Amino acid sequence: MTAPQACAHLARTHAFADGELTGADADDARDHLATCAACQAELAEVLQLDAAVAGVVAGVVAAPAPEVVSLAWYRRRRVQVAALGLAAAAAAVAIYVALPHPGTPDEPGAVAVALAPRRVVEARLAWHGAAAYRTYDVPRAGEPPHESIALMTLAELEKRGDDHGVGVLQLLNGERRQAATHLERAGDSVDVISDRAALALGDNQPEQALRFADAALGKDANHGAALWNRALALRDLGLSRTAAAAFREVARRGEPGWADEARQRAASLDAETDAVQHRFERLNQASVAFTRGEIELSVDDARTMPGFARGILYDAIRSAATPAQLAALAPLGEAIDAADRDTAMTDALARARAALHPALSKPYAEMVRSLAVELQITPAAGDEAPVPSGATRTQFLAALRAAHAGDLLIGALMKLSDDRRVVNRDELAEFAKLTVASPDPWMQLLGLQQQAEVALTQGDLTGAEALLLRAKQRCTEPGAPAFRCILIEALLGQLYAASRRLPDARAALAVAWQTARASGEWVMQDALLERLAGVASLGDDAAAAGLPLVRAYRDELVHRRGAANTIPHPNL
Amino acid sequence: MACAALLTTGEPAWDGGCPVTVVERAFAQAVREHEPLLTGIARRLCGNDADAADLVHDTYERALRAWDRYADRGNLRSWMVAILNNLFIDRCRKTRRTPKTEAIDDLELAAPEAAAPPAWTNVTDQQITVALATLGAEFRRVYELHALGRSYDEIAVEMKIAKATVGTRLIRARKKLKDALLREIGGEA
Repeated sequence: MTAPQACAHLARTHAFADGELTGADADDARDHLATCAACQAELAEVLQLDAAVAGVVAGVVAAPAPEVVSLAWYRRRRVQVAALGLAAAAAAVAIYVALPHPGTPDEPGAVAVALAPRRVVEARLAWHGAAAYRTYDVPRAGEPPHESIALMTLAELEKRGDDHGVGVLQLLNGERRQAATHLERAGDSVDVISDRAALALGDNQPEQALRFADAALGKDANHGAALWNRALALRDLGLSRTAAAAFREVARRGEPGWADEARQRAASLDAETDAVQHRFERLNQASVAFTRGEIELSVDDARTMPGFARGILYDAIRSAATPAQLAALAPLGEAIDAADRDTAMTDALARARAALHPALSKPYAEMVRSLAVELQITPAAGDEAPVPSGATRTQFLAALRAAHAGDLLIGALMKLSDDRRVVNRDELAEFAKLTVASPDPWMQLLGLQQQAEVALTQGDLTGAEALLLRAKQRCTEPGAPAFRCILIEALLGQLYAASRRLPDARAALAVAWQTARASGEWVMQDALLERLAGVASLGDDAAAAGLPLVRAYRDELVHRRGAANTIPHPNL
Repeated sequence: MACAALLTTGEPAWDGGCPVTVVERAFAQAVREHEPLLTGIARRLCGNDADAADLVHDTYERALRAWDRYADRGNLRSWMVAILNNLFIDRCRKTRRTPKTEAIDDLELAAPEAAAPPAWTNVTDQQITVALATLGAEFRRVYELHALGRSYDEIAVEMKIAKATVGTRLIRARKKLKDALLREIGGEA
């Protein structure tokens, strides 16, 4: 080895290698190392020498000669090993945990927990051996996230009776049942409860995770891992605004690594929710514009929120008086069909083309316009005809029947009902017949739903349940529009809550909520949140189990309030 | 890159799309035990976790590519440290704040192939223990405390000496240690 020229900065290179330089001093040393052969060689030697000695010295600490070093010296050493562990923990790779060996308290045995540089679970663990920040790596699809933990480490921790440690490592290992067993036995410290939340998150039980996280925060409101896991639980519950707020709270704590990731998570949650909300607002605008006879719906929005878009498009088809007006709706119909993977809207357009009723479509459009004013969706222009009632109503419906304009009749029976939404009782049989006859699953489901709603208002819970279960069954068949199925589940939830069948109610509403979230149908989400909060607050176990959920649902509503101006379209 | 991240994380992830060969498995197995050491070094050199993780990452990639040319498996640790060090120097060159005089091409070419570490690193634990014993008590204590991960400040407090003295003693301890090791393996002192 050729000795490089001496350099005045060799001492600084040692300090740099030892991690003693920070900021500008460290940058200077790096700049210098870029070009100084002497210091490069020196650095290489320092690293090699220290690496060679490190193992030996660690061995010396693990098995010291008692006559050479005093007991006090031992104890300090044990702390030193832990300090070394902390440095490594910060490096986010390996954590050396100094644990006293049972029976021989003065012998510093160290359990080395070597973890991968990136974590595969999103949750944040509180157990000290796995608490350090590691970048999150999204696991590959179809693989349960896990990293392999050395069996010897597990065996050692088990020998020491560290159930918490074994539980957490089994969790990382992907052995979830083992993890649950050990965490169960690990007592009720804040860290253990928070790690139970982490396990529940991985088991896709966000409600459970939220309860554990809240319980941990009840003991320590500043518990970093519990705050993190709570945010994840909220996200998994679909409460994206509350989850974003929770992540921002984590970010404000400024913990290295966690803060940055929390900021990113909050930002992306907000961005996703903003996108859905803005789309909903545009569609809502479009639905208002439609009552004036204008089509403002974009193909993209129709594709991404097909349920809400359908409500608008059905009335647009009923109101179309000419083939040209129908043709203009074709791209929207195709977009909705593409999203729903069927041909329902294209078929509806074809049916309307085959049987145009200009003399009926115009009064239908007029009816929608005057209803919008009556329901205070749009301001009055002054020239609206009154909403058909009494003899006018009877006459209009008779004309629709005479023309066999079934699709228009379905709309008119709902909109001209007493409450402008649910068909009048004496017209229900006709409505049921019309919807059963329709080839469109949307209309079939609508028929069942309306019958169930009438049954509900009459207190006929059994009849309503039978109808809704039939609808639910229909929802499992192809071509069932998610939008209508969400409403069916929501009604089921309402019915079960009224019958005090709380677990059923929670399950139905949870399905409705998940489907509403997954299909991006914002319009029903607020109503579902209200109902979810309502159901969570019912029951004997509400104080223990329901309150975290009630709070979470209500928080989400508060976060959303004022953001969206929800005007339900009369066709919903 | 995604494959390199999985090098030490275990089996099934390996099979999820990354090429898996017997050699790669053997490599992952072999380097695993050195990961704490490499990351510790990387963190001190880089000063932050993200860059350190990258550097370790790149070290694995480089080592894996050169794995079949790595003959002396008896000293994997120093081989890996050498690769990491070379990659680090390479980064220093690329990110240097002062104006560069070298052509970019030269810098790229300077990216090192895994160099053979110096012979004196190829020593047994026994030899190191013997070499450590040749250090005077004061030097040895400073060096051992340092090897346990303690900072200059902590060592200064512990030994009741000035912080600057810690630095100079460490430099001298390393020099003595290296000379002792060279003597032991019969090289020049």
